[in-house]
Amino acid sequence: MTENQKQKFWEVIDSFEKNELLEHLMLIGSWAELIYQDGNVLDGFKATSRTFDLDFLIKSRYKQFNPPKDIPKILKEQGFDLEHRYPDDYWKFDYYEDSIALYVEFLVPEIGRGAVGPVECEQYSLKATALRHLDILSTHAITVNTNGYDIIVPAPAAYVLQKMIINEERKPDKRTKDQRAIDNILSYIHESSELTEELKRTYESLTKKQKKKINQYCEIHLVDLFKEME
Amino acid sequence: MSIARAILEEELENLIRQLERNIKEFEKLPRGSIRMKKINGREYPYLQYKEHGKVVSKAIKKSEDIKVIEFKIKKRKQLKDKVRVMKVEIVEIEVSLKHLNP
Repeated sequence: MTENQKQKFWEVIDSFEKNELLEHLMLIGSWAELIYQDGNVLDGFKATSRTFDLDFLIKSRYKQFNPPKDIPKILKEQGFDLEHRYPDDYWKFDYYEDSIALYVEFLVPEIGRGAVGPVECEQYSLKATALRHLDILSTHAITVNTNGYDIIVPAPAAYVLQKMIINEERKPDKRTKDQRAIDNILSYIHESSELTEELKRTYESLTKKQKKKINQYCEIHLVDLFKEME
Repeated sequence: MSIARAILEEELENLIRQLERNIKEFEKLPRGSIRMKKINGREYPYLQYKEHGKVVSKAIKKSEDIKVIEFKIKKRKQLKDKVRVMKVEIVEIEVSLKHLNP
């Protein structure tokens, strides 16, 4: 991400903080890696990804606010335009400037088996996209204080394991990018016995199906998941 | 600076960093292959590889897990491929950057 993109990112974070929204959102996707880096979550870690997509997971879509939060308005004030795609009812907020492009999207974990797609989030005044396997991220959250903000992100172990689970469902270009992110973060996790233990605990907390997908990923990509420290 | 240049420069920096980490890991892993040698009617595993043009055989200790060594050999080969792909990508980005306006 460029310096200008980073600056815009922090402006978005600041506007969420001022509107008391930050504690109800979890930053997922590759921008979480910036928080791992800036918040020293992984010793010496450097984020590898650059992306235009800024993904936020809504922690609880049933949380009641009085009055309800108006995310479209907040983002509009930040210069974002709502892209409402038909017919799939997909909501995304776009920002373009000379050297900046950012797309903000809101996600929720799938509700019930196979219930993916757009979901009305009245309390936030928008429709979020429900996706599978996001529960792994939301149940393994950490709060990182960086740049003066408390930002909720997935624990690195959960971040890596979730990427492994969804890898085969990703488009080929994103698949390769994710594989590199997995390799990169995993190598830093393996440098810490504490984080490797956390990786084991997170893995053990997953369902049989999820574990199977991770095992398959590790077999195909020759990943020694619980590698001993050297 | 244009978005394209900034992205390419960042990607180049990331790739170089990842390449260095991969090379470091690659160098730690065993090369060659596992061969069985028959001595006095019994088979023993050996790690065989070439060094300065000569074939070297090293006995694998009983305490060592052959499966782990096999995994590490495969991993080394995989990393070799990854390093090659990354080197090509680095050259491609460098060429693209030369053709972009500053």
